[in-house]
Amino acid sequence: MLLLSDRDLEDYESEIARLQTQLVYVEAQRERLRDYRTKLRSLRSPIRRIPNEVLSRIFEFAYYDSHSPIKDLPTFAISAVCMRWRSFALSSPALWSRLSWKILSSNAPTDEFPLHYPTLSSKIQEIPSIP
Amino acid sequence: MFTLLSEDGISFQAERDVLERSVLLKNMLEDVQDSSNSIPLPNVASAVLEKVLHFCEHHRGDPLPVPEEDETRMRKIVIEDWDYDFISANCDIVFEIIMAANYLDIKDLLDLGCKYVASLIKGKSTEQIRELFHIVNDLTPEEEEKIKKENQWAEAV
Repeated sequence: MLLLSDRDLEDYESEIARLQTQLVYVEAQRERLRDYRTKLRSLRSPIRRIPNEVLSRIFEFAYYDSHSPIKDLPTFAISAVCMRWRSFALSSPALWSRLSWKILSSNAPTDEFPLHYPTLSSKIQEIPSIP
Repeated sequence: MFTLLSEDGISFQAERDVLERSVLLKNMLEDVQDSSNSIPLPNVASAVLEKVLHFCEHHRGDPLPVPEEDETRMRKIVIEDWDYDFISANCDIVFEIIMAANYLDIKDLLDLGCKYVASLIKGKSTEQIRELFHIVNDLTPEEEEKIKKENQWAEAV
């Protein structure tokens, strides 16, 4: 009886292992299908067909109408969406023209400025100039 | 009355002052005295053309927007209630309307569409924008990391 029980248990263990492998496989297939569906949707997305000059106009409206703090400006979100949007955002001086900030606030530790200064400085140099 | 022919072969009739909201059609009408021939619009589907003409009819007689572009003018554009209701009711074809307005050169309709889409973008994260417009992230993980580092300074301001 004990031998039979051990054999049954082994069968169950191997069946669980087989099902777990199958589950991993099916989950991977599901992820692939999700990616494929996202790409298909993307191909059908009407914003892909919007000409470059109109896309720039949309970005500028988003920027001009925004009164958010710097970190919440749409420019940052827009410039990280995809290659096309990034390329537009980086080549549109108007989207970066309203960046103003207090370098030192009264209650901020005075050592913050040296910490952020190098990135701030390089960012300013990257901003395209307005003709 | 002039007749427009959509890309799917549907005819629409409209008066000259309605059609002249479109710079493209205005220029075409200057050359066409005979209104018996229909004007083909191969880039505009009937469902979109119907909405475009509805917009132009509502705004017939309004002064045309100045062609000059500057930041001040863009900032001053305010969406009127009727326009907001119009574009919101047609939000499922807003990009088609934008493309038709761009093709027909109807500046106030183009601005309305662009401003509406801009309002959808505002306040959203990168990921939310991707989901909204079904945009695939084609940036490499290295590029994403670089962007994240580049934008750190703004988080700290």
